[in-house]
Amino acid sequence: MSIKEFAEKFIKAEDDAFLTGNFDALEKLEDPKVIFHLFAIDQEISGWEAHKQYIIGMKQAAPGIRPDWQYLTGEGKLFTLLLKMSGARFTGQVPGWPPPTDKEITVSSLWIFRLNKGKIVEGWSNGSVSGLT
Amino acid sequence: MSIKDFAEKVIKAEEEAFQKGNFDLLKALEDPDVVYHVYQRRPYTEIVGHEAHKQDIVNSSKGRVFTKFEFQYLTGEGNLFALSIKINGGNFLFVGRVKKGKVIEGWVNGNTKVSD
Repeated sequence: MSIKEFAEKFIKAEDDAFLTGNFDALEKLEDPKVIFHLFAIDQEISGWEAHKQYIIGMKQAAPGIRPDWQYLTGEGKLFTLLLKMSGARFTGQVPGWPPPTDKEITVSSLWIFRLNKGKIVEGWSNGSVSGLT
Repeated sequence: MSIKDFAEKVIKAEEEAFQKGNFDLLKALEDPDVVYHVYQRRPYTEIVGHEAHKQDIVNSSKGRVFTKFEFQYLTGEGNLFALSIKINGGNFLFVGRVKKGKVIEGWVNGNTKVSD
C-alpha cells in the first residue's frame, strides 16, 4: 500500500468515527501508544483510547461536526493532510472542556503523521481553532 | 546529506534571513520556483518563487525585534521534513518537500498572534 493509500484509509476511518461513531477502522490504523502534538491548543493526546475519547468529546460538544481532510503530500512513512471543520456550534457540555459558547467551531489545521510498522505512531498539527472560548 | 541535515541548513538559512537580512543561504536551498502554501493568512496565500519569499520575509521583519525565534526539527524522511517554528507570540508547523536538493514546496499553518 502506498503512503497516499494509507492516508486515504485514515481519512475514511476518521469519517467513520465522526459520522457513524464506528471507531474500528481508525483503531486498526493507530498504534495503541500513538501521540498527537496539537500545537494550536497546546495539548498532547497520548494513546489510542485518549484519541477516541477526544473525538467522542468533539462530537458531544458540537453535534454534527465532521472533518474535511485533504491529502497534501507523503513519502516513505510520512504523510501530510489539511483539516478543515466547520458548520457546527459548540453547544454540548463535555467534562474537561470549557463551557459551551454557542459559537460555530471552525478548525483549519496542517497535520503531519509518522508511521511505524504500518500504524500511525505520532502526529503533529498546528493551525487555527475558533469557537471554543 | 540526510533530510535532517538538510532541514537544519534550512533552519540556519531562515535565521540568517530573518535576523540578519542575509538571504544567500536561503537562495541556495530554494528552487527559484518554490511554492509556499500559507494557510494561517486570510485569505489563504501562496508565495510563489524565491524572490517573493525573500520579499515576504523582508516585509514581515520590517521594524520587528525578534525576542523569540525558535525553529525545531520534528521529523523527516526521504524528501519530506517538518519543523516547529516559534516567532515572538506565534507558533507554526511547517512541512517542506525537497527535489534535487532544493525546497520546491512548503506548507505552513499556525496561530498568527505574532507580537512586535
